[in-house]
Amino acid sequence: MITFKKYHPILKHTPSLIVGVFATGFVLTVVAIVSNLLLLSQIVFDSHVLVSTKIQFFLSLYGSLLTNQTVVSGTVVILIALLFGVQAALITYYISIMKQIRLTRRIGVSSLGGLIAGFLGIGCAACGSVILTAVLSGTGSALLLLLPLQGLEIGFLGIGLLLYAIKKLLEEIEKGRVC
Amino acid sequence: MSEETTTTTVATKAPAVAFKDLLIPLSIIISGVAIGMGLYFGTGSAAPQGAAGVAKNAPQEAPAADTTDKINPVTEADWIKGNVNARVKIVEYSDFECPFCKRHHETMKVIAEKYGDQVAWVFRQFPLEQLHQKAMPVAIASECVGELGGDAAFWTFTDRYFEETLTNDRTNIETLIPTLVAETGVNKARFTECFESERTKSAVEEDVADAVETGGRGTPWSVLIGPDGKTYPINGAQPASVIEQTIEAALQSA
Repeated sequence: MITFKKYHPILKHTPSLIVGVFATGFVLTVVAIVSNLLLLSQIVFDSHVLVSTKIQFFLSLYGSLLTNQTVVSGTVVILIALLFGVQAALITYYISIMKQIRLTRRIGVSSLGGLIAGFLGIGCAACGSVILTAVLSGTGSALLLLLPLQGLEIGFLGIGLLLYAIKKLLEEIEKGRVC
Repeated sequence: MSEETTTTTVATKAPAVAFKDLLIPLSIIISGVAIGMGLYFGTGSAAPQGAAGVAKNAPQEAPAADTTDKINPVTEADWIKGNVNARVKIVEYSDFECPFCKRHHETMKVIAEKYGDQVAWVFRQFPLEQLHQKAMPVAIASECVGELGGDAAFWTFTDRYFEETLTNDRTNIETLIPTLVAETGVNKARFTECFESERTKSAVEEDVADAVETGGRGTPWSVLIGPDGKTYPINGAQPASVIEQTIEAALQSA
């Protein structure tokens, strides 16, 4: 059984915590800037624009996490970011502490699953509230519009996969400890 | 003895482990498919997260590069709040039934209030009929109000509509439109004649074509035009700070 007490050593492992926080921040950053990459690159690479303006602009994009999301899609984004951070922290912990060579393949597979699921989540967030928009060609958008939540379902799928990947990784860590 | 026990245990659990192992690659495959969908739907100019839908006549592929420089020039024929000769112009392409457009409209009010005559706020139509069937009738109505009552009437109608709309086609436009038309002071009979003839629909469609041409794939979609004519694409309902910093960047770049 997976309990907080059983895994609390992970929470005391500083490198894992740092990686986890960084991974969460990475996901939130991607979600914040992905819809305005053109604008961001235009301003960042403009030599006439002051560095302070570039920095302020970049930071202001994080505000879109509030203005550019619905309550549901925003919740999906936050959950995915947090779960991605947890997954990254667990992987870091496993690699640095467990060092079980015979379990490397299994960990690698579950880690890959977690990472992919994480990016899946980002993809979902990008089309969720938004219904995608964007980008969607006629056929693609039409298909998404058939879904009750216009594509946000993919976000829920991402959360489920991340939770599964985390569970598997915790099991691997526990097995490694027992061995 | 101990080794024998271990071996026996592993052999007994082998089928279960194999099944578990199968679940992991399966999840990866599912993830891969989903990611593929995400990339397909989310590449190009990047999906505007606040966008509420895709334009009916949008091209099959998103533009790989910035095409905002293809924007129709801002003229006095546009619906403009502020100084038409302002150094910075922000062209907003909006859908009256899009919840993010409602939010963005409030943001633009803040920007207009802060910058005054330094910024021209231009409103262009971008009803997403696939998502909001009521958006087109409202767009046509707003154009009629503008045609009959001028800029002031148009902006009164538009501002009030965004205040009152429930968004996502939940608005009772049969009662709200007449109410707002009355508030603008436009003659009811003349409005009805204009609205029912749909003669302003061509202007709406022209705006939609312009939005798509500049790269708009969802709403709200905005193009900021700097003092030197340089254009900046702004996707989705961004916070006022993003608009402000983009204005600053445009001013510094000129």
